[in-house]
Amino acid sequence: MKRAWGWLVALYLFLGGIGGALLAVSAVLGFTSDVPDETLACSSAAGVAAMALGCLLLLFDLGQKRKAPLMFSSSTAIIKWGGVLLALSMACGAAYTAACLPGMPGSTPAWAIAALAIAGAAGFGVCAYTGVLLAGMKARPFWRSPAIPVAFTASALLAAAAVLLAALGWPLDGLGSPSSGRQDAALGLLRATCLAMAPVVLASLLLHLEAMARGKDETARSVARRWISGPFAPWFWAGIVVVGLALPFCAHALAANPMLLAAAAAVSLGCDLLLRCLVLFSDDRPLLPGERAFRRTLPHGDETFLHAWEGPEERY
Amino acid sequence: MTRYAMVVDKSRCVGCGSCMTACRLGNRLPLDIVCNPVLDGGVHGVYPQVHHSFTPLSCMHCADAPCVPCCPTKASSQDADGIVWVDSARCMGCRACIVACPYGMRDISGSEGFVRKCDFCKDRVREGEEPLCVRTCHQGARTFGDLDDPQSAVSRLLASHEARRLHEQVGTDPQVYYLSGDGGAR
Repeated sequence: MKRAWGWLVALYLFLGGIGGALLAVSAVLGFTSDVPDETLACSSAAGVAAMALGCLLLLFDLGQKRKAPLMFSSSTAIIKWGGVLLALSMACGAAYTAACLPGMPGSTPAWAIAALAIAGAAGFGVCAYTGVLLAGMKARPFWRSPAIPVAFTASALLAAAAVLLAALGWPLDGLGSPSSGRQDAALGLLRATCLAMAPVVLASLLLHLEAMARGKDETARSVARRWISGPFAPWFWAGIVVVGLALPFCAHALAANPMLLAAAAAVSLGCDLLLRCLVLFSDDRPLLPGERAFRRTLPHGDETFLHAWEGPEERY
Repeated sequence: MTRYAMVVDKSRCVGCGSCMTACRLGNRLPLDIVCNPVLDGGVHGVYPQVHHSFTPLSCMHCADAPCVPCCPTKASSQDADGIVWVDSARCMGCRACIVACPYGMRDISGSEGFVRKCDFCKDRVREGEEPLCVRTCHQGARTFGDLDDPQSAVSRLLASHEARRLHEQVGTDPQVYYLSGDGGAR
């Protein structure tokens, strides 16, 4: 069966989620701890860059790229509101980063602090939006659950906190300025976020799979079986549960070794991407008798032949 | 008020595919797009009581169409008469509507970059003609008309026959009705 949304959309959901989470975590750090502005500016810039790259991938995936500005027309489309949140968080994150650039006079202005707050709130919205977008599709039974946005949001926050924890805990220089007692509160907050989010991701996924596997919908049951004991099982159990969640949880709970924290951050990022890919590729919908056979007869891989019919000359 | 619907009598369909061909030619569809496939349900029963079933499909023009509100560019819209259609001039090819459709009745051609779907041949219909697939079906398997007109062919068929709709559990209130395998006479 031809898949409507493929790898580029999976990468977009991942980059949007991680970018939004970086901005959200940066904003929380900015208002609750004594992290230097340069450090927050670096993490905000990373968040904006991730989102911008995600937007580029999405743009590349569109069938009619020049019509992309029309995406803000509708008031009912989740994609439109995701775009609004993306634009808002990127603009405010970039404004905050610019205000904290080296050479800018004096302390951080009030408008930049407000921009960080808006970027953080909108970033959290982007995080949640990547899951809400899928959960709102009533045609795809496996996605129809609040567990999907919860898992996506928690996974992105986990990955962002792990990345910032590794960066701030790095013994050489951290991100922007040397670590000191000033950053202890930030490190504690980030570690607590990592330790709290991993069980949330795991619990939401397990509860979701349990509900789907025992539900009435045959399509959702078959997808859940794919996750639990089918082709997705190695990726889910080994890739997400053990390597992506349990090992980083142990690293954050037990160790303060910078190398371990860096490895945990890399693994958390990989886990977040893997989660989005597995969920996105669980887009099965109920098929009608004979539909699979019919779809197989449609041309795939015959692009040269198909395009040979195009052109100014009428051949069809 | 007009509310268009289609009634399909599966017992009349022989799977010839003329409706698909008429749609393809009339709407100048790209070669990789089929808006109204006819699914082959296979042979059922035991000789001599055997039956080869076919299911002619098209967009269901759901009253609560999930493909319309999810369109960020407002390219997907639904008219007051229930016809769901795509404005190709506005479609940016994000494929959200394809994901939203429970029936797989939307597709995007690699050569065009915008989404195609059945629109009940709305330009013909508003000139008093029938959709091409209905007009072409020599078996009379597809019937089109106004559900709000009690004298229309679709209203009379639904009043006199048992009918069901596909994937009703999704809750989109589809407007294509299927008479059961034997014609569904009450």
